[in-house]
Amino acid sequence: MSLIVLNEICKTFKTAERPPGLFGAMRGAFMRQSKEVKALDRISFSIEEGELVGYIGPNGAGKSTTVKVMSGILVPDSGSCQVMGRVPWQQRVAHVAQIGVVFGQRSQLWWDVPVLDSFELLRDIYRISASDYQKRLCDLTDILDIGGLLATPVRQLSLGQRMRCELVASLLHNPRLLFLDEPTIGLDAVSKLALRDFLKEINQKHGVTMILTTHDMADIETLCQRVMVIGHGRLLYDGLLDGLKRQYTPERRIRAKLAGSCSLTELPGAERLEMLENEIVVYFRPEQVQAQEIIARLAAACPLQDLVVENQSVEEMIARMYREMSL
Amino acid sequence: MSWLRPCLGILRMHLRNSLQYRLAAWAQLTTNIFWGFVHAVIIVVFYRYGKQNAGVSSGMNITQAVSYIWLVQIALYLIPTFSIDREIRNKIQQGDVGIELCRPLDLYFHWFTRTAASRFGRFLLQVPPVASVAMLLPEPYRLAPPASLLSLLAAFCSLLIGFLLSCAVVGIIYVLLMQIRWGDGPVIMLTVLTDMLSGSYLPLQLWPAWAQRFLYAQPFASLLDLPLRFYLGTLAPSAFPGVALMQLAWMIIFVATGWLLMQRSLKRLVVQGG
Repeated sequence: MSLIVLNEICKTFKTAERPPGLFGAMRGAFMRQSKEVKALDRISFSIEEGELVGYIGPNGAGKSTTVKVMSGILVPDSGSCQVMGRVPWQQRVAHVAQIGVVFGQRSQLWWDVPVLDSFELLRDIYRISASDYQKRLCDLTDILDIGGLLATPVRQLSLGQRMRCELVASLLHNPRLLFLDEPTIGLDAVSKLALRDFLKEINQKHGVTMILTTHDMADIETLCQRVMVIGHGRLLYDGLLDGLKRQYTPERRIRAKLAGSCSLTELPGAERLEMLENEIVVYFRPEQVQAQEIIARLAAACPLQDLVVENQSVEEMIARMYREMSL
Repeated sequence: MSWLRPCLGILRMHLRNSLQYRLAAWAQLTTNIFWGFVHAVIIVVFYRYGKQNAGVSSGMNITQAVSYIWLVQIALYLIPTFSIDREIRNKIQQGDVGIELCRPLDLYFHWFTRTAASRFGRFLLQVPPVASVAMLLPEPYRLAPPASLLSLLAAFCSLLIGFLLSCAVVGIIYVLLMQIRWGDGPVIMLTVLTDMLSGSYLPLQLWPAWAQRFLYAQPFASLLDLPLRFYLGTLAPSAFPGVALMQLAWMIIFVATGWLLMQRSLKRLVVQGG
């Protein structure tokens, strides 16, 4: 059986609304208007043990809400959910003993005391045996290279250092399932790379199942094969990242610098042209026309100084996808 | 005893935490000593210049009343009806309840333990200095020794139950705080009420005679006033079993109410923000 099975999960939030301004506030004191927002609208999916799934969508799409349902924090209005054979919100204590969570914008470490003190408290809370604790702590601090930080109070750590400590904290009790909610938010390039390497290793070597929500498409590209896209509370795509790419990056472009003047309005095989100051951009679809052909035609028509073939970045692709799905 | 390890871990963490800010500890210490002294002076003035029979009718003499003031300053570390755990309050307001719920512990008892641990940590640190300053002051401003050794023992045990009861009272405040749409209003009202009725402003025995029976039986007297009566000798140690039974009953009622309210509010809890 799959590790996680969600079936037709719905959750509606009520938000209070009142007209802005003083007059609005006075009216709001007597008449409350509330609007219902469908945060999750019949979400269904299943995830197998050992998968590393990217979960993306614009802000407010319902990503965090789904994670909260799966981690037992939030009770959905309807639908069923089984994680490791349990209903998360009904057997919360037994359930959370086997999951780890990392929230990029919140901390699970104690602010004022050294990192090691927080780890020791987690050891007691999760009732980890002394030998298991020592071994895991050694392993994790080794991989993440935080041995030198253990005696430092959390408030004195940089964000990158703190994030690495958060990861250790979330893995000390050897969870089978790890929820990562924007773990790379605010990190510099080096920290991001280190974090991705670490997640990959934990996933592959230890078989920890991971669900990663993020806005950083490079995270998704380096870590995940499978992606789920959510928007307005509905699951819009669930499948391989490559499939998503094929669907939404059909266009490739040639950016050519011109050596002399050239007035081109049409190029056979190209989707469209864009003329700039002394540059020409040609959009084409590689499955319809070969790059070689289009470059030859372009070179025949115009004097070229330099030429680059660009693929759309994943960022652009996602932006386009959100637009097309009218999110 | 699987719950014992997390409890001890939390206690250890709070002891370390309270050692962290020495300056804050000193500041609080001086405030308490100063406040206790001012309070003691007021009591002395009232007893000296009030009607001659002032102390007699209340059954509390000047030494007992002044000692009471000092004992409140000491015990307030253990039973600070006015203060709720700042860290838990922040967690509730900033939505970190989500992370708390990811721990394999019952949230009510987790917070109960944390509250107890943080109070106990501060209590251990602050009792010796406050108590010794209070005892070294000249008559009639000083803290008198306990009525008897047995009185001290009864006071101590009764205070311990009062301590647990106070954590249960705060447990209910946490649940109220989780109803974030209510704002701070209900919490402030409840805090003022507990402060008045626990006798931390004025010994309950100095209130009018007609209110005494009610004041004795209401739950908040069990927090502070009744335990201190044992120390002062206004309650005999032989009354301890009855008082302890009443305290325990109140404690069970408060814990049960808090726990049930917590379960109810967790079902409807919405952790907002990403």
